[in-house]
Amino acid sequence: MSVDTLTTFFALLTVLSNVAVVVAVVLWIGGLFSPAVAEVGARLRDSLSGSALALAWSVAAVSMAGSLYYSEIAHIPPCLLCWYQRIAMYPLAIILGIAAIKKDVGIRIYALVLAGVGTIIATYHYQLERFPDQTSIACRLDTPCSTTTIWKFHYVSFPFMAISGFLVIAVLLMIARAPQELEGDDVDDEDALLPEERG
Amino acid sequence: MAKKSRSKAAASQPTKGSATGRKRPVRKKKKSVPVFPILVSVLVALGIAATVMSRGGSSGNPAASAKVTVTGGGLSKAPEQGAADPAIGAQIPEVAGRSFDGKDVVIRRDGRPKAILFVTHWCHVCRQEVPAVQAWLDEHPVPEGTDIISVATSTDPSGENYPPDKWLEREGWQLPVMVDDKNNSAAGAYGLQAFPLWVFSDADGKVVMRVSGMFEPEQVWGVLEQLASSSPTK
Repeated sequence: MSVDTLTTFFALLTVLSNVAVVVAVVLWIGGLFSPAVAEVGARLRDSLSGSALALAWSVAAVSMAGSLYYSEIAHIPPCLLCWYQRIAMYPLAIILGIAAIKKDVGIRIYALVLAGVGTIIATYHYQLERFPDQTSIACRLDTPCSTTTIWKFHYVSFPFMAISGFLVIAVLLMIARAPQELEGDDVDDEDALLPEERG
Repeated sequence: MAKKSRSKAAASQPTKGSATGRKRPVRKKKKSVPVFPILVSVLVALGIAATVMSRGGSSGNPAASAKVTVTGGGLSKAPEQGAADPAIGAQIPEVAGRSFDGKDVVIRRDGRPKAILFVTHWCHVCRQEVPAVQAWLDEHPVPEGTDIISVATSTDPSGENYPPDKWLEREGWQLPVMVDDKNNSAAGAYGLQAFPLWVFSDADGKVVMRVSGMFEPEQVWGVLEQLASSSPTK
């Protein structure tokens, strides 16, 4: 499989994650104004919340694997800002995996901080690619951060892939729920205790 | 007092025994959405789509089929602007290749001063340099007795502004263009470290200057005119 094929694959994944984040944001904002939209959002959340931690881990793991593919197999060395984004993403691949196994939504705040920092760095990197004259008067072969190394669908580059990964991880963390919260949904509260069993 | 009403769902549920002997409704499990099978299916579909979509890009890569022959020793790595260049006075390598439409393009030590411009489609500075040079060329012919030859190198189907032939066509590029091979042999022979790279040689085929980065067309023409006036064939 060529580098270009894999780049196209990751770019398509990026587009898919962008759609997911946009849908999540639209449902959240729409739900504030419309009960029908809130109901749709609640159903979607309920269907995903049990798997959200595992999905977030999947996103982090694929992001980590993808970045390692480019540096170690495709021999495209990461620039300095790419390294900083790796510092935010790689720990997520580990801690979210552990949290998914333990079903521990307490990971949320720690992972959100990492995702937030990564998003900020990736956003700065993306604008540097778009306005490279800030830092360079020539395009060096040793991959400066102002060089757009890959470019797909007129907007997807390496830092944009990172932004998309961090954002979809953040959305999944926000909808993740603990097993006891999920079990509470399965039972009509009135039937949880028979009357004579209640104090 | 027993509760008069229970939810219909609970009433129809099978029940377990409790401490009081009354049956306790079994917790109803919601049907879970098969998230991961759906995810795997989506990934497989995206993989197929990516394979189909990139087939055109990879097979159309002009560098993939380009052949370049380099004769003579390569130049040392081009320094950054302002630094001393150890290649000054060295013989330029002779390079034979082809243009995008298959015509022969050669860089030879033929007694004519030259400016050789290395560009790549994904470099934002090249994308400023090319139209600037073309606009100057539209008003000022190449100085008599000199040549300007361009080399399209470092072609990357995943990169911005691909393919290079369409880019240069859009810019109305009139100068000869040699397509470098997939190993960037011509660029490597001239010690390219950054784009764009200008290499100026005198009538004896010796390097007089290398410039990495934007170089104003007026300055390019100035160097060539100076080289042409000091050429022994004039």
